Amino acid sequence: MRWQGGDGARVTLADVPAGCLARIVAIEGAPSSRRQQLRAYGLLAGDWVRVVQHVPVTVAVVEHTELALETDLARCILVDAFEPWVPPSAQPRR
Amino acid sequence: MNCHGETEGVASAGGSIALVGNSNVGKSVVFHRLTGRYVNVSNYPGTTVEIARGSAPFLPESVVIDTPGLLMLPANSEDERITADLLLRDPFRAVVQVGDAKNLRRTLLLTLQLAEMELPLVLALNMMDEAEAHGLHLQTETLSQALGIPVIPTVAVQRRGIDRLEQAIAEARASRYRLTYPAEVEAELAPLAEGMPDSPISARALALLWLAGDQAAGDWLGQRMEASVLDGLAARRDRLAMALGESPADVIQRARWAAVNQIAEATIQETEATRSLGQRLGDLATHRVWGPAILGVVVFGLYEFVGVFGAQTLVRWMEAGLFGKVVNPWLTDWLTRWIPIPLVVDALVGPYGLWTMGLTYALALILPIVSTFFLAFGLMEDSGYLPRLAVLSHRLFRIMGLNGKAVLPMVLGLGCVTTATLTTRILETRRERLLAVLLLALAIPCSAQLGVVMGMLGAVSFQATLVWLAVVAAVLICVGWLAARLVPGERSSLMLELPPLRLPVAANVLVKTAARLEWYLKEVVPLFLLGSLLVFVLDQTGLLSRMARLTEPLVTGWLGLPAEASLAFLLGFLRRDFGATGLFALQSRGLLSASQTLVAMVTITLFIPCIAAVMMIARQHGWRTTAAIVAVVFPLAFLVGGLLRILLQATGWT
Repeated sequence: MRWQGGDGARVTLADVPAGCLARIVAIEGAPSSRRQQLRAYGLLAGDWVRVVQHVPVTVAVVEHTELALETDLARCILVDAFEPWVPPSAQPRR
Repeated sequence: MNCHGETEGVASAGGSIALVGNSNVGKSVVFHRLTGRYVNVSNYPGTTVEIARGSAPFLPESVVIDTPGLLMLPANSEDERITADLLLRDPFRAVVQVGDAKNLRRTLLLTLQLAEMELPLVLALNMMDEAEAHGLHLQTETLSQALGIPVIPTVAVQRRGIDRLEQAIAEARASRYRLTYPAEVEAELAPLAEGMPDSPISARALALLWLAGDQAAGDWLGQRMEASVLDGLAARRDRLAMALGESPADVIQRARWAAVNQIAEATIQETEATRSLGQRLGDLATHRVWGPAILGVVVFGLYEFVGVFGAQTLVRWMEAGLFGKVVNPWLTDWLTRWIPIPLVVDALVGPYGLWTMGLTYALALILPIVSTFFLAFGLMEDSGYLPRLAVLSHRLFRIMGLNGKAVLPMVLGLGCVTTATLTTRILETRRERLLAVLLLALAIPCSAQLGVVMGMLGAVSFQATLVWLAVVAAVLICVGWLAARLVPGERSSLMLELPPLRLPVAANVLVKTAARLEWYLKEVVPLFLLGSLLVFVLDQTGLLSRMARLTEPLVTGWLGLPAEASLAFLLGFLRRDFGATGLFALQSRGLLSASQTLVAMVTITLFIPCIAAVMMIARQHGWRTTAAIVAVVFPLAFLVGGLLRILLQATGWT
């Protein structure tokens, strides 16, 4: 399951399947103070975050912080790509 | 959940040292290491909601100030504004930013803001052990050179790096770091800074706060500038927003992030690390299936430890055994022999005696319950489980016009409603704080009361406990739902950091439990003694029986309880747990049937909170709001109690 933006669809963090890494492109629709808080947590355009779950709320790992976000708020975070996350222990040895 | 006075006055001839930083990065542990003074330390954001002061032995005549967590400036919640306000009002000898080493970029975002303030600054990169476990290797020397301030790696819980930190604080100097913003912002900044009044922080930093719309800075300037001048400043900010085509705050933050990323790239070396057991468990604790299952295990464990072991086994040993068979008979015998005045003997060891009622209630009934609760609660706090409850309970709180974050003051309310009222500061809007305080005052029993309730209902049946829980939860949700529709304003959406699950440190849990028990005894014993004395005087003057007659229609007629229960509700005015203990005594004497016990427990749970909590609500929201809350809570408790009696009778409960 790998998706790269470009088809014009509005894809948000709420649409990214749990267990995937997603690349942030913008934060839209949230109040200015919330946008700043989200950015202060490191949700910045171009950065990748890992989606842990969506129910009961969205949980995303940003840098080394787990952040619980209400789904309405997750819908304000636009992404332009996502791909499955592979835990370090499951990655092939180089 | 520690009702200590938080702001201890300490002389500060040598200047003050402020500890600031994001939430849950270990500021309070660093404070403890620097001052020797213990303040509540837990593993969830928002433990510190007031400032705490302690003298600094390493820097004579200086004080260290612990502050509530601050994600960034502009500040968003009331506890964050306390810290912002402090930076604007107090000239500090040094500011120590405590940062989470594994979240360096977020830490640096605040560092840049503090550096711009031109305050003598030291960065303590705390929890270095966790950063290393995450595969992060930080070049602190490189970081120090980039920022122009000392950067000290620490593991405060193990006291690692504290000596170096103390030395760095003593030699702290203002940072020379200066960030250049986009030309439009810089063009506004210079003239704005020139017009700023003198403040402990640099004029440029103050002007940046103003441009970013910081409320604490706005209030501070409003107190020092004519309204017309302030209007002029607001017009400049609006003009800048027009020129930029977006909020100046967004542009300023973006510029800071660009600088942060540049510094972080040169500082962080990352290697791959395996996920720890704590991380895996953390994921399970918020999982849609495993989360509720784990919650069930936690609640069952709490019930067994507090409700069964504390409230039944330990209470039986203490009340029936130690006090009932040994201490009280011996004391009664001794006093009767040596004090020839029966009235005095009665006041001490009679049915409403200071010892037999006041101290026996406080020490034999309540102390075992709160001891087990505080211990279990301390373990939960330090494990980092509480914020995960916010995730699990979010949907429930949505119904009540709040978000899952409100579960933190609610759970803290199980320990002490007074402190929990203070913790509502972590909620973002006044409306949310008000709703949370109403629910706390209405339906959240404190640990002592909860323990008594569990013990009494446990003696009836598990079914009775479930009925009590269902009624209280239904009232909580209905009142919350209704209040959310009546109180104007909007709900803020949930955004909460989930700290890593950690194995609690035994020493911290024990120190915290001891501190809470000390507070509890200091607050409870005088009130219980006062209550006993009051009841004794009422009994001696015959007023007690008159009051019982007066409240008979309500207590006996409407609630269907024996007349003696009036006394318990009278005690409930002092503290709800005192009232509950009075009912416990009635049940012990076989005066309450199963349905009466249930009705009494529901009514006393929904009864008005203790005097200390009422005072705290008044401090936070004013007397008019407090009076309105009491006017809702008091009649509602009796209404629900009476309706439950009717329902129980109709369904054949006896």
